[in-house]
Amino acid sequence: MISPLSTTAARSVRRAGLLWAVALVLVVIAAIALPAFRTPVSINSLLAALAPIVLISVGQAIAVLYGGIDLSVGAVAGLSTVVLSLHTLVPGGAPVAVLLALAAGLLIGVLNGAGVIAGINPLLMTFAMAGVVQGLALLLQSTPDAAVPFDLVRVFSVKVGPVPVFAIVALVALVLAWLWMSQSRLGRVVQAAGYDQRIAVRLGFPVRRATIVAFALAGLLAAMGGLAIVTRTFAADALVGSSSIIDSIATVLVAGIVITGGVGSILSVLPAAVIIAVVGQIITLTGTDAYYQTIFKGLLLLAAMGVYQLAGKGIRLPWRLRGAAIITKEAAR
Amino acid sequence: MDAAAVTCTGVSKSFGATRAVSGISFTIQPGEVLALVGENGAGKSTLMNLLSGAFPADEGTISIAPPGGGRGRAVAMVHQELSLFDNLTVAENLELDRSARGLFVSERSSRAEAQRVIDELGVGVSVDATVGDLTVGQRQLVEVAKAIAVPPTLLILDEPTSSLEGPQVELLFAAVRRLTALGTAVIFVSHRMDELFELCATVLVMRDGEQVEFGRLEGHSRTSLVESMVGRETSALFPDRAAATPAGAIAELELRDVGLAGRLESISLSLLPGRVTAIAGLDGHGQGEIAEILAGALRPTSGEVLVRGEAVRLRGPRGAVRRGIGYIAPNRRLDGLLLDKSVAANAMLAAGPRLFRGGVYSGRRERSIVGGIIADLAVKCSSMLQPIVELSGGNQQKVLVGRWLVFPDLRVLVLNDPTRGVDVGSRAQIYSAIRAIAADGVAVALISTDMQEILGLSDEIHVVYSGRLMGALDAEVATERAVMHLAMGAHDDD
Repeated sequence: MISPLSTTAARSVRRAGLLWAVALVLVVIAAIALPAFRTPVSINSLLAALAPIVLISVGQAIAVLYGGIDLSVGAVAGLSTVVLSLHTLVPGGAPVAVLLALAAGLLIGVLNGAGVIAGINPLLMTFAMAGVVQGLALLLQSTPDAAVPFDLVRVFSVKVGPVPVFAIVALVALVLAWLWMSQSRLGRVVQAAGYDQRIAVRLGFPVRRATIVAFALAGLLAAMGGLAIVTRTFAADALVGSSSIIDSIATVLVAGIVITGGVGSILSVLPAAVIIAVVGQIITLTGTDAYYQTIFKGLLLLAAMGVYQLAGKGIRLPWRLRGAAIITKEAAR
Repeated sequence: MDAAAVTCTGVSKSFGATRAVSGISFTIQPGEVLALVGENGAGKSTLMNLLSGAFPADEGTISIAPPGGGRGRAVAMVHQELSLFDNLTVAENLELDRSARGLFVSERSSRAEAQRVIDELGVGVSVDATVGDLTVGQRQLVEVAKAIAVPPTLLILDEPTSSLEGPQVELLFAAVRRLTALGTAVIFVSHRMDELFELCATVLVMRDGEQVEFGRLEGHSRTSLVESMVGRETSALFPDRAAATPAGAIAELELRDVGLAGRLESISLSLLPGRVTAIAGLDGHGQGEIAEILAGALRPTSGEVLVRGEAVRLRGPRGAVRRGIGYIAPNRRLDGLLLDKSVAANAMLAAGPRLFRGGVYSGRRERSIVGGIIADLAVKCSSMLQPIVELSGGNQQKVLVGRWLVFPDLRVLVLNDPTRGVDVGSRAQIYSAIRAIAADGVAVALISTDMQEILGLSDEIHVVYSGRLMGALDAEVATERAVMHLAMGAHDDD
């Protein structure tokens, strides 16, 4: 009866039980109390809103598990909507533009990773990168003849029942990222380096490769998140992802992934995102002032941190300040 | 017997101007256990790092026979500082270290392999236990298990028994014997004499980076081994001692039966005004914790802290400073200095708020106070506005000491390893400043692993060993041998 899953992964799934229960209870209460919530239109719009935030948060979760953070996810998502709108200018049209948008996200992630390896703090590296990418996207946005490829976006907006296709893509990406993190050798190195990079370097683990791959995946998933946004907005907008920086970090923290790295489960991103999205939907449907949503997110984050603080007695976390991201052999002495 | 497992010829290594290891030559046969002994800072760690390939030697050659079977590593090292990831399980930690190929981990083989290694060692931990939940001793054994999962040519054990309990030590020794039977050479570093004599056949003694002796351990007694490690003369670095304190003086700071969960046990200690009280011991035996309790940075889990006879709770270092207790932390760059700030700002950090009660600093008065420190301690700096990071380690440390020199109403000064990485000239100035502080009636606690410093500077020496005070010695008559004897866990009458 050996489980095919690693013990740590299985354990963090069990530990997320409360989070799943809260998400489920919230959905059930909303479905009973608000008839409007049960309609296919409402479900569709909820899922369409969930898809991008899940994709971007999964990328953010990988960066945080590595012990870093990615502040460029919003800018990358915006860039990917703009790149898609350039389909009239690239040979091959819309399908090639999709690949280009994803490649741009991947490339930016690789650059982030390279900067981190060079010793730049992930926070600063991705913050700077966010500025560069956003400026680039704004410049490209004003290209004449640029337009979102409506035919392609219609294909993307295909639904399976009330479920938009990108919601399925997001779910698949979530599960794959989770399996990669818990079962692949490199994913284990990411977790190890996220917990204590100094030891990982001393033991000769491929920490550099793990750095590049972690940030590349974060960039790729952010670009996918941008494409998911286009299926709702039908517009190229360089600034469309700006709120997803804070949202993705909040989702990751509510999911119980520890900000210092190495501890937590990517799978828990789903219930965390569901809780935030369902409450948003309730606020919209009841006609409550949308600004309450921001207040709610802040309070939820504080509550989640309080709960985890109380529950996190088992593992002692290294709260000491982290030094340079990659420590050379000389410095590790 | 076939070729030697490890051969070192004339190995040397310098860091900057410091010669950490110089002219080491020795051989270890397969299946042999070598005891590597020396005082703190004798160069043992550097030698071990050279052997494990962490950095190359400047001179000399190290040759290590290729591992049998071609699967294992040539050198496996168990560091004093563990290299396990607390967030993962035992099996996952062992798996990370295996050189298995493939993109994905097979849970079945990963767990089976971990179980095999853990069973072989005989340690009763579950392979599915999260490492963070294990005791320190269990972690140490898992670390050993990781190193010997595949028998290496050379296994280096750096103080592996410091956190083990009796039965666990037996498990470790049994594992070492099994490995040596398979032909692995072992280097064993320990400050516990009994263990060395039980396990080792040969011994390499180091002192100040140089090889003092290499040969069979059999001819040695405990005493002769300690003598071989110590044997050096004390120089005229140290100022004269103070006159004896009149009997009946009230201790400025006293620990009464103080304990700290798992690390310290019934520590009782009085710091008398005008005296330098030293706490000696080998690295990691609890003296650092005692220093932090005295300075209010750590709160004891049992026992009492008394200031001038009155039981108090020091609420953090701030509370301690308010009661006139100053602290100089061992890592000046991390815990002592504002690196980018000026010499003056660093010097005034503690005393400033006291000297300028209104919160407004008078430039002229500040300049005269800082100028006094610079002159008294001969701090070499271009001006008092020079950023302190540009000063040498010795001069930085002088500013740290000077910081408390100008502190009004200083009653107690706790010095934790005050001269680590400080050159000899600066040492002499720091020592005389410390003595001057004591002569003003301040109680000084000196925590150090440097025997010479302890013997030369203090009036009274308490020796700590694995979290307990082993006894007190009068510094006038104490010898390095007597201190080392206690520091290695032997009793007074032994």
